[in-house]
Amino acid sequence: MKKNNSLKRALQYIYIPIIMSVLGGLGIFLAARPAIKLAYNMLGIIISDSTPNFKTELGSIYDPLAEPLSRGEISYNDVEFPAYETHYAQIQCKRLDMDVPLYWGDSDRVFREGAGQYIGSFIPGYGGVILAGAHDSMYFEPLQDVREGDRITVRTNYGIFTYRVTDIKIASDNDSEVFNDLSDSEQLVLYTCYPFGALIGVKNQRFYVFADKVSGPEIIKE
Amino acid sequence: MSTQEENAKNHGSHKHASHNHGSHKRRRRMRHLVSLILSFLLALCITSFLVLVGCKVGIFNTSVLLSQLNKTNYYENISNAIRENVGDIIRPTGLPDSVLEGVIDDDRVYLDVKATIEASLENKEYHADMTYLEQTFTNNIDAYIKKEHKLSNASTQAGLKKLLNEIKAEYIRLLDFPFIKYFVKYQAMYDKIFLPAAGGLLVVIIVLCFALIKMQRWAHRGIRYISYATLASVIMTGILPLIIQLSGAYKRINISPKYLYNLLVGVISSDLTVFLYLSLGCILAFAGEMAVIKILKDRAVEH
Repeated sequence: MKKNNSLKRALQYIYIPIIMSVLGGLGIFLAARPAIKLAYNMLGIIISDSTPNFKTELGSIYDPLAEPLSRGEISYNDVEFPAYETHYAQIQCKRLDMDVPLYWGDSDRVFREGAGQYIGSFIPGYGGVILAGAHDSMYFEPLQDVREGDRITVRTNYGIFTYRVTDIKIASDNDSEVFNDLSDSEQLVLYTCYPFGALIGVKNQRFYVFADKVSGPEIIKE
Repeated sequence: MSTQEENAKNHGSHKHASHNHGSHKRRRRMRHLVSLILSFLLALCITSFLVLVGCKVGIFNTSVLLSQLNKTNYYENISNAIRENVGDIIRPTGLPDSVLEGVIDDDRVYLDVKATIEASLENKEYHADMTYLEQTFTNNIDAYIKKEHKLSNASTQAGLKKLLNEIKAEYIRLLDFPFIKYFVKYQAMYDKIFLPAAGGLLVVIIVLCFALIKMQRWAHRGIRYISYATLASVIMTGILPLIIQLSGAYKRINISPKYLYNLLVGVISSDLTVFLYLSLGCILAFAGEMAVIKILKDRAVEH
């Protein structure tokens, strides 16, 4: 009898606090439901599915040993689209001795490592404008000797694209009219700060090179 | 008295005793129910009090923030970030990285960041002294121009002045701690309500404890109901912080750059630990209550 009482008392120390906690938690949840819902929605914005990855090195999907096509058609499904700040192509010009890695994205981190492509433009083969920039003192320094008729190649894992320089322009950094005469067909537009190499402090002008597609495969959607 | 009369009398007493026993049992159940309700209310009050204290000692505690600044190497990381960002500013100009040598001084950054945060915590503004940065940068540029025999005309000087202003603006931007203004604002609001709320809850807790003890015939029984409330508070105070701490959900917060992320994660972890310690304190209180119950019970048995 005494043993039964002790057991009963011991169990009371377990189930009574648990029942109180559940009732208390339920009560708080029901009373503060609108605030909890708001807080949950706000947390959903700032909490992601995994811990953030603060990698210091930029990624690359470019394979220098790949044997891409220089003509014909490629299926959309066979093209690996680059993630932001990923190296996916090389911009080459034999005459200018230029061989620059091209990244998808144009952040400061990318400009330290190569040329950065504006993500609102198209990748080669899509028939649109490919807009890429780099520092004049670094990767696009050879462009100061570019002239009309020069051939610039963009080499990716899926295709080799050649463009012929058709126009060179110098304009203010906030002059949007420089893009008024863009071609309806695939075009490569390279830009950098101007003047080249001069000790001028902050440069407010830009040097633009426009080049039309001469050869390269076409990406088709099946 | 005849046997019949005696039997009638005994039957009456027995019936009276049964009736007394029944109502005693009912009273006892009622007292148990009321005690449980008071114990539940006591649990809610203790939990609310602990949450208030936890927020005061943890979330809205300036010392937690300041200690995490050191633990997460915040000052050093800010220095590196300033150097990196300023490097990105000068890179398009064609100037080499050597013109930045000595411009961003770690000790000065540490003092400026600390002063900025401390001023913000006191709702004041701090203006960093940029003389050293300006002088060092200008000297480096002059040395570079002389060494490389570069052209330096009015246009160049104007460009360099603009560049220096951009560097100074970036330096000041990175000194600023983004969340400090909100922290100070909510801390002030909380300080206003803490004392009245905590004081009020403490009074209610004492009243409820007193009522629980007085309601029972034996004091140790009253303390038993108090210990139920204490245990319930352990669960309600500690369960959520424990789950968050063990799951690491707070580490998935989407904040950049990395030094700010590390700082915030460190602060959140410290805050959760405060609540776990409060929960642990409750467990110790429960242990104390059990000891008191034992002592009082033994005394009651003796008497």
